[in-house]
Amino acid sequence: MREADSKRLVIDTDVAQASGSEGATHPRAKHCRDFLQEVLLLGHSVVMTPEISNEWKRHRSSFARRWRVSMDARKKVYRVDAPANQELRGKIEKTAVHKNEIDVMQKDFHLLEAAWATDQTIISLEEIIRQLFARASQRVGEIRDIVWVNPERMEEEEPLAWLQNGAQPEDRRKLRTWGIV
Amino acid sequence: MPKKKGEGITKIAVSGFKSLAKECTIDIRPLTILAGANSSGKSSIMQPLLMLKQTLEAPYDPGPLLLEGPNVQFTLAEQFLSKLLNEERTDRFQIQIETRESDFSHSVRTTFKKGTSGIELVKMISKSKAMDRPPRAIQHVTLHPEMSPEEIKSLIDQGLISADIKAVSRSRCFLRFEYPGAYVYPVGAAILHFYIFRSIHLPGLRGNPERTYKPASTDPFYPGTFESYVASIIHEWQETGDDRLKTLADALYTLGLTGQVGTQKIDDTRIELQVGRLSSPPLAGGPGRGTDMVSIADVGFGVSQVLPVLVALIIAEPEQLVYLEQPELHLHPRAQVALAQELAAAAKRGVRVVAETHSSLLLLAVQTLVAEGDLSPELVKLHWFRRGENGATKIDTADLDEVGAYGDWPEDFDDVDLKAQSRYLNAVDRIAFGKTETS
Repeated sequence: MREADSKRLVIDTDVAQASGSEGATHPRAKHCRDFLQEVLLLGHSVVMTPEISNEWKRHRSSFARRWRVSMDARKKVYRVDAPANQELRGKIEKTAVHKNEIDVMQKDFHLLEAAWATDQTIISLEEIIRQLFARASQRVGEIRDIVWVNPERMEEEEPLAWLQNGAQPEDRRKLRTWGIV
Repeated sequence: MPKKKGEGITKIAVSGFKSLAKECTIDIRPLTILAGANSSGKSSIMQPLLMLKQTLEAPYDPGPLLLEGPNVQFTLAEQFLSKLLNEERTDRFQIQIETRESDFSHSVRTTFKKGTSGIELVKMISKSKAMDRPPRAIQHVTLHPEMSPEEIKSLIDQGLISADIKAVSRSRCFLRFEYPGAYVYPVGAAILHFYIFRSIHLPGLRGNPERTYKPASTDPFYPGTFESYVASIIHEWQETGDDRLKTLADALYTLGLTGQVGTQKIDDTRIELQVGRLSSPPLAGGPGRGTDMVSIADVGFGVSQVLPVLVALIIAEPEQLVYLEQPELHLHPRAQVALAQELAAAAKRGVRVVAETHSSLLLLAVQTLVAEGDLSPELVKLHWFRRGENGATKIDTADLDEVGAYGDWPEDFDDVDLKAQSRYLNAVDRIAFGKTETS
């Protein structure tokens, strides 16, 4: 893959966690492993902010730990400090219908901020949070073009083919499109 | 300006030799790692140098190249001359070795050819330059064994060699100038001669541990392969109270193998190598060193196989080349990781350690030492060997950065590790969750 075709991907810890055998469910674990291996093979980068890095250190999947070592050795870990954007968080929180939605979204604000600081692409298994962020994107323009891919949804989202094609920011994968759905 | 220290052998280039059909080059740094699949050419890049070593060290003149010796064993030129898929076998190979000593850089390129009576030395190019700014050539000569008086006069007329030189003759694997009543090597060849003589070679097959070992010389020159000298070196360290014996014992302890090492002289022709039966050092206030020692033949292979590696790393002096084939042989993974520390210690002293390895753990441990700031990345060079479609070796070279990363490399053993883990986990999933295959 040409350097220009590789992307900086914000990969949620849930993908790393699910890639191991510990507590993983079938076939989710396999899909996550295949996805991570493809990222390594194709030369995409993974984004690490201090917060994401700490989350990765906490999880117990030896497969994901080995994967991250390989990514680091290949200089494919993109480190960036993406501090909390309180103004953005405030705008998103205002779109919540219930208080508990705020609690759920707060858990993954740091993914949005990391994506915003890099290639605007998040890889996560979290469907509920995607739906909440997608709905928020209708009113919060800053997150409308963020791409969100779920590596478990093999048939619906074809994540491996998407990686092979350069992880392009296709409209159908952007939060604003999910909001319409 | 302070005088720069020498560096020893700094580069090796080989062509026409086994799978190294086209010229392949490796830079030699204080810690040089050769990695790659089996039969990818890792050993082949070092074998011509080893052939020069065994040719120079032979107790008789074996001709231009000793094919079958203690370091490498061939019986026919066809066993090492390159033959690629759908191509004729080459009739010659070349080796170029660069050295640095003080403020001078030297390069010697020697061409050997299969002739009617065996291997012939057909050409030697010796270049030397002073590392001024810009570098200044001080000698650059192309020699062959049967140079005519006219060719020699031409070199004299160009000011390349002394007017006293009468002829060029072969001396084993090098060419030299003949003066009336004396001979002199070109500068580069003389320096290379010295560094090859000082090189240490520890092969991948190191033999079974023995009950006793024969005494051997313990000076800085170790003809043949190094394992023959280990018992005598340890014995001398023990008899002279040399601190390096403790360094060795500490290294063995770090590797989790044993806490003690020593020798017992049986008679004038036999030395027994002994190690502590336990992997801990002698207890303070306890019976002390020398108790609970057993023959090295009575402990696991890990100790006997790594002992020569550690002794070589400890005894080698700055600039000295130490070529280790599979230093991790028979070691538990924990010991493989610890071994990186010993390789790094020698590299930091200026020894040129060339380690051919299949251990991803050893490489990871070297990366970690760099990331922890315990080893400068400038001391490390990685060379990854692989075979192209026509069978020719290709070498990818990488430097480590300050966090021990090496960047883009071809598929490597850590990919194999990842794929093996994935395959195992997939199999476990299939058993645990049924045979549903979803992709």
